[in-house]
Parts: sequence; structure tokens; C-alpha cells
Amino acid sequence: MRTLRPLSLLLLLGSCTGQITNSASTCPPPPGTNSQTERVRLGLAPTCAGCHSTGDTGYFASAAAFDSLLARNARLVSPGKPDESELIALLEGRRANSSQKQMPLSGDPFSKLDADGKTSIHLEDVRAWVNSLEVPGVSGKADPGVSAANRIDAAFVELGLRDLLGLTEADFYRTITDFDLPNLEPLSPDLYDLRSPDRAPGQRSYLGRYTALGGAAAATSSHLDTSISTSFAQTLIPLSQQWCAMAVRKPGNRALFTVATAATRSTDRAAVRAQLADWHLLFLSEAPTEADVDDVMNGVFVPLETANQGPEAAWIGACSYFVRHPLFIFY
Amino acid sequence: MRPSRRDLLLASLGAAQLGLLDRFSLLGKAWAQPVVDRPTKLLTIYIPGGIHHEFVWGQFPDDRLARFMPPGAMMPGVFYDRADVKNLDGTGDAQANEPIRRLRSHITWNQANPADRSMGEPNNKGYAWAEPNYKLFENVALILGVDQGTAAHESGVVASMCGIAGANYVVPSIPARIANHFLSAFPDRAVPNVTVMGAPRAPAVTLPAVADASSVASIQDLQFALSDRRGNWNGLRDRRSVPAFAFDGTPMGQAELTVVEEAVLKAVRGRRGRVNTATDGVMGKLYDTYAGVSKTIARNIVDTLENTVGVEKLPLDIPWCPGRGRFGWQIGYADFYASDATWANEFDLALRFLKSDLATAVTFRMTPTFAFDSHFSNPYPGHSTHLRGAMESIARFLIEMKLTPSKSRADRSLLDETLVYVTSDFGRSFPISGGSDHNPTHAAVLVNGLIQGNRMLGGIADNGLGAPMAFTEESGERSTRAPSARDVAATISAVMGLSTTEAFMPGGYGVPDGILR
Repeated sequence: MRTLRPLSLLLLLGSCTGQITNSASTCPPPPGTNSQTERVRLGLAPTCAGCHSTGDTGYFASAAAFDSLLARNARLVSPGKPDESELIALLEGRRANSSQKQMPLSGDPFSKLDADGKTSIHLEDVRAWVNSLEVPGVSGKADPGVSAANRIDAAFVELGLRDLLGLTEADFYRTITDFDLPNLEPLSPDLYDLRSPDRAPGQRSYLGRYTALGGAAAATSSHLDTSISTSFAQTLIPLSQQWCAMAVRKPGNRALFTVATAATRSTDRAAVRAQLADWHLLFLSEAPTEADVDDVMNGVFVPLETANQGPEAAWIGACSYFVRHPLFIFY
Repeated sequence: MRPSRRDLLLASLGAAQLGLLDRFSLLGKAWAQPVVDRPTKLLTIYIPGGIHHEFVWGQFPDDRLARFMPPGAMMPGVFYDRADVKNLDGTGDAQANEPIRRLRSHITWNQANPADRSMGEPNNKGYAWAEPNYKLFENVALILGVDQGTAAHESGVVASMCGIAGANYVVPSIPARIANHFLSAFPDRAVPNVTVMGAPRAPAVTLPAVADASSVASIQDLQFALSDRRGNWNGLRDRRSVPAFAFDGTPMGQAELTVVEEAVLKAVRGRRGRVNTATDGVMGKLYDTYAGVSKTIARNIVDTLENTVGVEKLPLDIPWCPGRGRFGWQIGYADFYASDATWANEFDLALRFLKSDLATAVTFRMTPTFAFDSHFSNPYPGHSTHLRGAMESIARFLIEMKLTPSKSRADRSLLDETLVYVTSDFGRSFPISGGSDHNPTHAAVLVNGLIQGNRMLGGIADNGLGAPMAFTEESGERSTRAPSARDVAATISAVMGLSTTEAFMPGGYGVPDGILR
């Protein structure tokens, strides 16, 4: 099974290799902050903030971000139920059958780091915090005037989607030298490569794609745009199809195929359904219902497999379906 | 401006109420005109960085020129004196002191022989606006002394593109408004609003998603972004006719959809009513955007665009600038060359979209040959020469439009059916200051065959701000005041025939006398 996308991407966007010391108990909260939530935030920050300070998994960008994106995020934290909280499962490294089974992603899980005295807060303190949570002041009814949907941005597509699909920079670029400086060159314009104009080393790809997705970049004087725009859709749609095709065709891509393979046909109904269910969780961060799986199986996979007399296009189409799905587009 | 009771009423109403008021004619249509020929397309040309308008246009009053411009002897060809400024139509100083002046400029070329390159820089750059065979000046109206409301770059871009300065768009961009206005009149324009290279942005904001700007980088990019020709569509390309639905489930006839599109649209519809009305609004916009992109791809517009010739009418060799192609020019004997290739991409693509009748609003950013955000020491010679060079190339581009017959009216040209709006972030501090800083006082260049041309409206007052000019306000009242970015947006809307309701912006706006026919 998959972990939830926000946490899985949390550690994909950077490395968590800062010096870690077990000093939380002696570290007083800053002036004006003495809540248990704030102590947990400051305690986890040395281990987690390296990856989770920006973007839609920027839980440690501020106290407000931690509160709204993590503490009140029912997908990650079940108030009063630490054993049912994905946050705790990840910190304890309990996501055994997932490609992202633990946090931090690389090295020892948080629980091991804690046991070795390398964290700023004990896991038991985090569990106690989750156990104490009541999520006060949160109405069960959504405010009708405030949209609950925030669109993914270009940086997320560039790094987050690429990683979710099991693709790497090497799938898009070759290393070259420009005037004795290292540079990257797209292997082909048909790969729909995407790269922030601010990201070094510079490269020779078409930078307008990043802007079209609404990406902010100092190099092109473009600022962040996460509105639903035509340019976003007309960029994401062909990009999703190309990237999914690359991911499906990539040999041994276990990031994408955890149950089936690109050769699995609908005759192996159980395997296809299991894989589609896994993708539902991977991309949409929601466990699917039987009806959800039926929709993709009968609405996308089988028709494309039939039309193309083979499963490859069906897997590509299903993958692209999930990338274009509103639950992936919005978080 | 003190808000009227009507202003307060408008500010307190939502779009739905405004629509009802408009339907029952309870809102005045101050700009309502008899139905006459109007442009139905908008081309926005953006010069990035903020520019010294005074190096191109005679925006200062003749008798106050020295208040803003150092004497010509200090930097010949760049600074200028009263005697150097003339009407572009060849009438010298006629009407130079009237409230609405003829189009005037610092004449830097040899009138008797515009090809003469012995004049020193900027030489004949800018002459194309005055060239008597093409008479482009007849189609130009300048709004001078425009208050952008900001001196920050991004905010200035937003002000120029929608009328209200800010970090983001609080009202629809001008191109989106125009695209939206003509949706029903020109349903075959498959890409109503298109931006070359995605900048500057031209978002629809509160308007339907179909009015939002598509981003296209080049003619080569078209097949990557707006077609299903590339390999990434293999196996996914086939379309079939299926029942179409609006986001709320209302049947909408049939649509040609791919398997994935059909499933994705169903998934988006399935999210309706899950959270709240605001979220439904966002989901609905995603739905309409997906459906619109699908329709554009299904139309196979790439063939049409590829078969449309961009530049075809302009002479291959410009008589007053021989040897530099259609759009090129040079500085000195070999210091710098601008060639056709410098702007080939944006010029070609914009013309293809306009000539093929596939777009209502086209926007592009001029590839700069100079950093017009020229804070550096002694920026004037470079800024002046390159800005005049850019304007020279733009003029030739407009001549191409003027020479191109309209597809819909034999007696009209592409320039008649297209309102061209040339703008930048803002102006720059006047040369007398010795600097080149950001200056909220700006100017808008409007070019079209159906407006009152050969005129400069307003100017610069002694305090460096815009001089007062006569307006018809959105409320229908008459007033005299300096123009703002709102007024530029409103003027473009009025020229295109939008009602005051369609052009609504919080904060008040008007249309200056002397542009609408």
C-alpha cells in the first residue's frame, strides 16, 4: 500500500541530513509560544524542515503552516488516535509495503533516530501530542465562501510529479559542457521536460513551459500563479501523457508499478485493479472505493487496451487520468 | 475622484445583480454608440521594463519642454529642443497648442531623404510612423500622462494588462475581457485569447475559462501544446462522439472526446457538491478549462496556422532602411544589428493568429534589444536608440497589418479590425532629472483604422504628472482630470464596443474625448 502523497513528497523535495541532536527537552519554546503543538513543531523541525519548508508540503514554513497543513490535516493526523495517524506510521517506519515506507525517506526512520538520541523530540512526545489533539474550533461545515482547493504549482509538477512517476533528471537530460561550464540538454523536445529557469545548472529546454504552468522564476520575472488557467491545462495534459508514457516504459519502474507491470493485461483483472487502486492512493491521497476503481478500469483501461490491442496505452492513459484528476490538481 | 452614489451602488453589488441592472437598462451605457464598424480583435504589444516615452513621442508641451528635457546640444539626437519636435503628418507645428495635438515626435531623420544615415543615432528609427505612403500616424491615438498607480514592475504589468495595479489581477485582463465579449459573435475563433510565450499574462479571473489566455511559444510549439500530433498521443488520440454535459450535469449535446478526457471530465463533475460553493466554482473552472482545451485540440488548428502566412505584404527591403530586412535596423556602422530574426517568432505567430481568424485577443512581449529598465549611468543614448528601434519595428509590423485585407470585409484591413495596444510597465523619470528611475506616469499607444487617429490626448503637467483632459465617466458624467490605467482599460473596452458593465472596475473609470468615432 501507498503512503499518502503529501508526506511521501515531503521528503522528496529535499534532503533531511542536518545535524540532529536530542536537545528538545532542554530547548524552551520561543517567547509567546508554549503550546504543545508548537513544541512538537520545533521538535520535529530539525529532522523534517529541510524538506518541508516550501511548497504544498511546507509544514514547517511557519507555525500557521504546521497547524493548518499538518496538525489539522485529517489525512495525516487523526486527533486522539496516534496509531491511526499516518504521521506516526511514517515516523515509526511502519509503511512496510509502500515505496515510501518511512520518514525520513533515506537512512533510519525517525523512531530509530530517536532511539539513537539523534532527534530533537522523542517519538513518544509526538504520540502524546496526537493523543491530546481535539482539533478545537474546526467546524464540520465548510465555509461556503472559501474554496478548499489549492492548485499544485509548477515546482510540484517539476519535482513532485517526476518523482512520483519514478522518473529522474537522467530521463530528460544529457550532461553537456557550454563554454567549459556544465549544462544540461534535453534528450528530445518530445520529452516535455520541465525545469525552473532558476535551477542551476542552466539548461537548454523551453522555459516557457514552466511559466505556462504558473511557475515563479526570478530569471524570467514571472511570479507564482496557481489559478486554473488555459495555459496550465494545455501544458499539463500533453506533459502528463508523455511523462506517463516514459514512466510506463521505464524498465523496472517500481515507483509506478508496485503490483502489476506494463505488460499486465485486463485478463489479470485482480492485478490491474490492485495497481489502479494503488495509483489512486499514490496520486490522489485517498483510498479508492470499488466504484472508483471500476471507473478507471472500465472507463479508461479496458477501452484503451481494446482499442490498442495491448495494455501499454491503457496504463499510460490511466496514469494520465490520475495526473489530470481534480484530487491531484488540488490539495 | 469623489465616488458618486452610483459608484457606491456598483461597489455594493455582485456580478449577478449588475447583470440584471444592465439587462433592464438601469445602468447607464455612457459609451453607447450607434452601431458602427468597430475592431473585433485586440493585439497587445508589451515592451518590458518601463520606457522613456519622451524619446519617441513629443509628449511634453512645446512651451514647457525645457522643464523636462535637457537641451539638444547636450546630447544630440537624444535630448531635443522645441524646434526639433514636429507633427508626423508633415504639418510642422499645426495645432501644437491645442488640447488634442497631432502625433508629434522628435524628428531625428532627414525629411528629404529618410534613408540618409549621416544624421547620427537614433537616425531614422521611428520614421515608419511618419512614412507618407503608409500614413500610419493617421491610425494612432496616444493617451499621455497615464497614472499607472504603481512604480513596481510586476504591479505595472498588471496595471497595463487589466487597469488596476497590484500584485495580482483583481479584475479580468483586458485581452480576456475582449475575448469574452466576442465569444458568441465569433464562435469559430478556437483560441479566443492567446499569449505568445505566456507573458505578460492575460488571465480571465472571474470570466469564463474559455476567455483565459492560451500560451504558445512558437509555431513549432503549436503542435506540442495545441495538437495531438506528437508521440505522446499515440494510443490516446482517438476521439468519439459522446454526450456532453456542463459541470452541473446539464446535457450539452455531443462532444468529440478521447477516452481519458471523458473519464477526467466525469471525475471533475463527480467532485461537485462535495465541499462548498466556492470549491465548486474552482472545480467548475477546471472542468470548463479541460473541455475548452479538448475542443481546441480536436479542432486541429495547427494545420490552419501553419498554412497561414505571417508576414507577406511588407516589402522585403525597407526603402529607408535598405539591407536590414523587413524589421531590422542597425546602430552606427556595425555596432548593433536588429534583424528580422530578432522578433520573427512573436511577429510571425501573432500575425498568423490574427490573419487566420483563430483568435480574438493576441498578446506578445517584444524581445528586448536593450535593458529598458535602465537604472545604470547615462542610459539615455542606448535607451533612446533601442526604444526608437523597437518602435520602428513595431510600426513596420503595423504597416503589414494595414496592408493586409480583412478576411471579413473587402474594404477593411487587418489593422481596421484589430485594435493594437502598445504598452510597458510604466514610464521613467524625465531626463532633466538626470536619472532613469521608475515613473508611474505612463503612456498608452492605441492603433487602429476605426478610431480617431493622428492625435495625442493629454500630456505632462508641470508637476510631472498627467495633464487634465476631458472624460466621459463610466457614470455618464463629464469631467476633466488626468488619465489612469483604469481609463486606458476602459477606453480599449469602449473602442471594442463593450458596455460599461462589461468593463466594470472598482474605483471609477472613464473614456477620454477624442478617440471613439
